[in-house]
Order: sequence, then structure tokens, then C-alpha cells
Amino acid sequence: MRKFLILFAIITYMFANAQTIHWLTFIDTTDPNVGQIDVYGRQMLYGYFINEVNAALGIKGYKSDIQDFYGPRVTPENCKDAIEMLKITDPDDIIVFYYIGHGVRPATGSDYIKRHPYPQMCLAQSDESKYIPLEWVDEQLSSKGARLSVTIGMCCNSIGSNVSVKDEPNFSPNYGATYLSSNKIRLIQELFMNTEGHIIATSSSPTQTSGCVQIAGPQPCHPILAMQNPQWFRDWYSFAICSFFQTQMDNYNKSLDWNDFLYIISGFVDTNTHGAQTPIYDVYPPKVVASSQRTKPAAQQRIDIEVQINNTQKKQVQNETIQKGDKDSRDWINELTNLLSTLINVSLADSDRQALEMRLNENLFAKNAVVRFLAQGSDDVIDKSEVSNWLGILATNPNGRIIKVIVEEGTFDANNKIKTLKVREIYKQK
Amino acid sequence: MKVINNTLKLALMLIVIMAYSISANAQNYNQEEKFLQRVKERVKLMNDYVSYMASKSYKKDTKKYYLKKSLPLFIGNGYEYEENGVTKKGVTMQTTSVNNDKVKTTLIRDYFKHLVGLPYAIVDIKSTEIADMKVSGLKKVDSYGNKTLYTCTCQYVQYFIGGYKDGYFYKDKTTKRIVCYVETEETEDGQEYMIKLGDVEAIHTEDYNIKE
Repeated sequence: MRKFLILFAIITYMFANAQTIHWLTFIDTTDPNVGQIDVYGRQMLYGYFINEVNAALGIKGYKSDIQDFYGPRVTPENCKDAIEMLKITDPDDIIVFYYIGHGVRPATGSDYIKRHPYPQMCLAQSDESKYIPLEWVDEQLSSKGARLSVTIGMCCNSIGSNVSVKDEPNFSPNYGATYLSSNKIRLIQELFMNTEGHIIATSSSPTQTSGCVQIAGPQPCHPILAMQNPQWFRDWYSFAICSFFQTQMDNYNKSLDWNDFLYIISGFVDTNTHGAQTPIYDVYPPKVVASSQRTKPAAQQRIDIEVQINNTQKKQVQNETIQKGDKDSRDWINELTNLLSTLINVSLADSDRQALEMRLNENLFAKNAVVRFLAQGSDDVIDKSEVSNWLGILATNPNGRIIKVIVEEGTFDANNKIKTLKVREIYKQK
Repeated sequence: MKVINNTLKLALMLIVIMAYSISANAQNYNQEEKFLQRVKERVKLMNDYVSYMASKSYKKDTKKYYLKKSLPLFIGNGYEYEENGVTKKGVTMQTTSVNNDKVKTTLIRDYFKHLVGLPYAIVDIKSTEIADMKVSGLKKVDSYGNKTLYTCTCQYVQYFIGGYKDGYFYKDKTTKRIVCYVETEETEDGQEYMIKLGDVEAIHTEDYNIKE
């Protein structure tokens, strides 16, 4: 034990890459017509796209910073704040912004449409003066100094306030853990790590609406039945992205860049809607930035694990629950997710990981704490375990099979320690 | 105007076909599938531990630590447990050899200790990938309060090679079947599952061509 503590004291300072992939997701789940559909859309997006990208980049040392806005927190003010406050500390950082909700565009001449083909986001409210142009988001994010920024709006691009109904597709159910094949990992890493510049994309061309696909339930589906069963529908665009991730990436044997990827997604949606919905996108090279404004590489950081653990512990509130999406939850969820990423990292010495296992067990978790494992793309609990046993499996992680652990929710006891935790695990397929 | 290359066209066509077929299959999905994939994953994790503990690439102390951390995968955490009112000493592992017909049954914790100290100079153990494992349906065993205990079995193949410094090596391919315990619990948030691994039976052992 003493040897461990001394060893831990020596190795508490760990050199680490500082690069991060920042996600800003704004998903309108409160709309009376389509909000429930977007609840399932959000689950699909995180389960089949975002978590997989984070897992693949985590292998290369990328931390993940997720800012997940849904429910009543989707507002123009929160969107503007989140974008303006986003800080980039490493020139290899990546930013991805994804919006699902209503969108519109003004009635203008064709010259304006050519110059500004992308829609404005309504962000769960109808005050036109507060709509945020997707192009503004792209402009802001591409000026932050990250290596790559991707701005995606899944919304209508039609004129006026007539926005489209979104349906919900029933995706390929994988009710176990998420598995990433080595080919998929390679492609995700190529897509996100081999690109510099900024990308903007939206789910429909100017004047078009964005629609949904029905993937379950009787067809044809009576509109009343459809309204009663939002789980049968998903929006076409997010479905296309997740479908490509799930059905193509394991066997796609060429290199993949953003032009290829977005071309395939756009073609899929366009074909399936018979031309009624044609997504558009632009891929731009990096902006020329004055050298004084360029993000400087962070000096290799000595990260004191004790400090990290203490910071995480301070956010644990007596007898409270932290869920993804709560106002103050993001930091705790991101920090704990990143501590667990360190724990499963097989490139680190076994002794370091064993020491970290001990510190996490003692400092953050209650005795007899329980962890529940959630299925991909849903909140079904597919397994559970005592946390102490689970941390031991993470700290050993033979063959590096577990490549990402994503924290979803934690509840704390009277001593501010985690008594229950909900997570998702992502595995390497081979 | 973009030139559409053949690879992208094919990818596009395949997505369309796959998406519709996935939609149709989704409607046939049932409740059990939710965790049978997790069962396979637990079995694969056990096999990863087996592979690690047998390997000569790691220090003995480290392998012993992995042994200790792997035991909670099993019912009774690899130690004593009760089944149908009978106390059992622990989960067991059956081992066989191509050199004789004997089937040896060992407690899992002793089997793992044996793996750590195998007398070969080089050892390599591989097993079936998750996609190729075969899992049976669930069989109800018992119910108590709001909990119900089921079992299922998972079948996989293990490939073993052990080599000595003098060039002699032993290899075998064994089809194994492991019992998996699935406890379901009705909670206020819905049904939850807990999966633990049980006894491993060696069904068939044979020599194999290394190119397999």
C-alpha cells in the first residue's frame, strides 16, 4: 500500500496531450409537434454518431467536451452564450455544432439565396428577431482557432414560418454495447484528424423543408397514429449520418474526407425524398489568421490527477443527481468521463492505472456504489455491477477492448460521493 | 459540377438498400436481444483475461492483479455461491487435450492461476469474435420478489498454442460452452439486468491448422 502511494505521488503528474473535440448540440425536444420525435433523434445522434467519434478520437488522445442542450435549455441566448464562451486551448482542437429543430429563411431574391443559402435556427421559440443564422455559427466557430470546425443544422430551409414536420426513423437496434471496428475507427480518425478548415452543412436546400422517415409501425401510417408514436420516426438527415456510420463504415475501404462523406449523406436524403429535400454543404480551407491571433500549442501540461479528482469531487452535491443536460452538469460529466478515459488507456503503465483506480474508488465513489450500463441509443439498463468491481475491469482492460466510457448520470449520497452511476461503454470490435 | 465516382455511387446505393432492410428488421427485434449482446461481450472480456493471463509478455505480478480483477465477472465473484439450495465451491472451467480423452474440471480461480504459471516459453490463446458467438435463448431458473433468474449458454471456440524453447509446441482448438446467469429486476425505472458468468464446459477438442 505504501509503495503504491509513493508511486502514485511520483506519477500523479502525467504528461498529456491537451487536444479536445468540443461538441455543442442543441436539440429542440419541447416543440409540441415534433419535440418527442427529437427526443429519439437525440438518443440516436449520441448513440450512433457522437459517442463513436469520441471513442475513435479518444484512442489518439483526444479528450471530449460535450455541451448537450435540450429541453427548456434550447434558447437563442444559451446558443449564443455557448458559442461565444467556447474556448480553444490547442490548435488541434475540433469543434462540432449540431442543431436539430425548426429553421426558416427570409423571402428574398435569388442573389441573396446564392450568397446565403443556409437557414436561420429558431431554437425553440418564435420571435423572429432572435433566430440565429447557421452561417453566423460557422463564422464564429471557424474563428476560434481550432484545426477543424463543423457546423450542421438539421432543420427546414423554407421561407417564412412554415416549418416541416420531423419524423422518427427506427434505427438498427443494437441493444448491447457499442462496437467499433478497426476500419470504422480508422475512418473516423481520418475524417476528423486529417482535415483543417471549416465546414457548414444543412439538411435542405433554400426554400425546402426537412422531413422524416418512418422506420417502424404500419405503413401507410394514419396521421393520428403517427402523432401518438413519435418513436417510429426520425429526421432524414441525422438518420442518414447515423445510418452511414452503422452500415457502411465497417467495410468502406477507401479514404474518407468531408466532401465524400457529406456527398453521400446528401445523396442519400435526396434520393429517398425524391428530390424534395437536398442537403447542402461547403468545405472551406482554414482561414488566414494573423500570427498574433493563432492559438498557440499548449505547453505539455503536467496534469495533477489529485487536483483533477478533487475538482470533480467538489461538483458532487449531497443527495443530488447530475444528468447530462443539466445546467451545471457538463463539467462534472466531462471531467469524470475524461478520468475514466485515463483509467482505460492501455498505453499508460499498469501501475499508474492501478493507482488511479484506487484514488477514484476512495475519493469519488461511495462504498457499495452501483454502476448501470445503458444500451446504445436508448436508456435501457442492460447490465449493472458494483463500482469497485467495474473500476478494476477498467484499470485492467485486457487487450484495450474498452475504448470509451461515457458518463450519463450520477447520484450522490449524504457524503457527496457517487452512489449510482449510469454509463455507456464502447468497445473495439477486434 | 461534381464528378460522381463509382465508389461513392456504390456506397450511396448500399446505404439505401441497407437502411430499408434495417427498418424491416427493426420491427422484429425483441426484448431479449437487449442484453444477449452484452452477454457475448462479457464472455469476450473473460477470454481477453484468459489470453492476457496466459501470455508470457507480461510480468507475473501484473497478471496476478488481472486475475484478481477478472473474478467479479463470475457468479459468486469466482468464489462460493448457492444454486437451487446447493452451495457450490465456485465456477468451474473444463480443460481437455488432443493427447488424451480426459476432461479436467478446475475451479476458475485455480484455472486462472494455472494460466499465469504455464510452463511454456510462448503462449498464445485466441477466441471467437463476438459476432461469431452463439447464444441460446433464456431459460427461467427461479424468481424471488421482484427478481427473476434466467440462464443461457454462449458457445465459442478457443485456439491455444504453447511453445517450448526446444521448438516443440502444442496446439488445440476447443469448442466451449459457458453458462451465463441473467438476473432481471423490476424497478420503478423499468426492467434492469445483471449478467454473471458461470461454468465453462469443453465440448470438443481437436488439432487445427494454424492458418485457420
